[in-house]
Amino acid sequence: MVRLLTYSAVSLTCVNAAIGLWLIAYRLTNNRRLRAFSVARERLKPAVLAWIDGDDEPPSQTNPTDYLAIADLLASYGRAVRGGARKRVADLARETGMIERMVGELRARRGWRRALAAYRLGDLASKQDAAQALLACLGDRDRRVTAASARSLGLLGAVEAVEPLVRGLASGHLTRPVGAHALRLLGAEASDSLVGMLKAEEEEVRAMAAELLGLIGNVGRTDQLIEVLGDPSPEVRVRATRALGRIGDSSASAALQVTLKDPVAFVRAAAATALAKVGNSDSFDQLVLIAQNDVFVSAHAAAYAAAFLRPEDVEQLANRAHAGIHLEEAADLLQVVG
Amino acid sequence: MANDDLNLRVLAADDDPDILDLISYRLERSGCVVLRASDGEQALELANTQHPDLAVLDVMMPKIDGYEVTRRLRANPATAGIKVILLTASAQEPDVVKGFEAGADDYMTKPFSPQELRLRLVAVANRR
Repeated sequence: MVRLLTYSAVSLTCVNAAIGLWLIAYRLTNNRRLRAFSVARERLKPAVLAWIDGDDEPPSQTNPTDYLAIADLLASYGRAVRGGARKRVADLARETGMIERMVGELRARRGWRRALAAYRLGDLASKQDAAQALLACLGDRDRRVTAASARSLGLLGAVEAVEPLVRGLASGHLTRPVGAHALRLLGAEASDSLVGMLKAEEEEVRAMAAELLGLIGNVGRTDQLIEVLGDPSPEVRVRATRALGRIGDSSASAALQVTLKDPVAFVRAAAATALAKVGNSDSFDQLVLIAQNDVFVSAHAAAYAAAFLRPEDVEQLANRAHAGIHLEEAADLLQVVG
Repeated sequence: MANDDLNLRVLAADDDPDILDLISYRLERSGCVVLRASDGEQALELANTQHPDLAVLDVMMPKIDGYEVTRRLRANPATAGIKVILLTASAQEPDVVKGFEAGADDYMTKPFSPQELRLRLVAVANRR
């Protein structure tokens, strides 16, 4: 028994020593690789900058470390530049096979590798070279991959990504910060696709499209959003109303005043807030009526909107008998705010 | 891309070394002497000691932001004449207005075009 225990102890010590040695060797090799990478990066930096600046001679690569260093430099500079300089980054990445390799990596077994490739493609590739592959990744089971793909599609200006992005947001597959960031990168270019989606069959998609139009803030889309105020879904109507308030186009005032009579209270509340944002003082009397007679949610919003539009008048009204709790509260708040 | 002899001393300030590389490379090729700073404090120090003709300043910098650097440059008679181009990620109107109110001469958004930066720099430098 004692002998068996002794053998076991010696064996475990040997295994421990072997693992320790392996870890030391691994770390040394890794450090050497990192040092070689840093040296190659510094050495190749002038050549990569010259290429981006318009020189004809591409940076030469003699080994895999050089290749990685060039890819890293191109990605770092690629995300900082636009126009001709950005095109040269994409050209060199394509000519050296980097794009093909990264598109291949999008099918890697490990999620972090797919995510890294998706992220890098946004910095390096052109829309033509990478958009289709990245679009396919929006449905990836790994959230890191979908987030990186959405960001890259936004950076590449791939407007064909708008519909899958909106559907991903509506279904919850994409998180709001990720989807909204990608659409913000696409900017006004995304508006046409979003307008088309206001007529989608699914209520969630129509609602999301309306909300995003408001976030992009394109005044030229006010008419299409006004049309959506007649949508059968109250969720779509409320998001369109908020979007109109956010855009702040005064041409929406009349339609928003009509929305103050919506059968659903939270839509009326959104209309009141939107009228305040648009700065429509003509709706003051209507807002006061709602503040005094409507249910809590819309009355509360209407009182605040009225106070925002005509603070002195709300203070006067609040001093009269039977002004109502919402107008009184709004007047109190005005005094606090000054 | 154009390689000319602008013969200007340019202060480039940004906390992103890659952006500083790109700006420095383009401007040095155009015949400028580039003074590099990685934060607002360093930028002010270089402006006070090296007296550049022009400054390209990032808005979101550590320690002192680009707006404040611009204000301090304008407030000091020794540096008030330095032309300033602000470089920022935001193209929102309030941010642009804030930049010009601080005293900037021009404004560029990131990602930027190195060629456009050179042209704007020439235009700003030629302004009286």
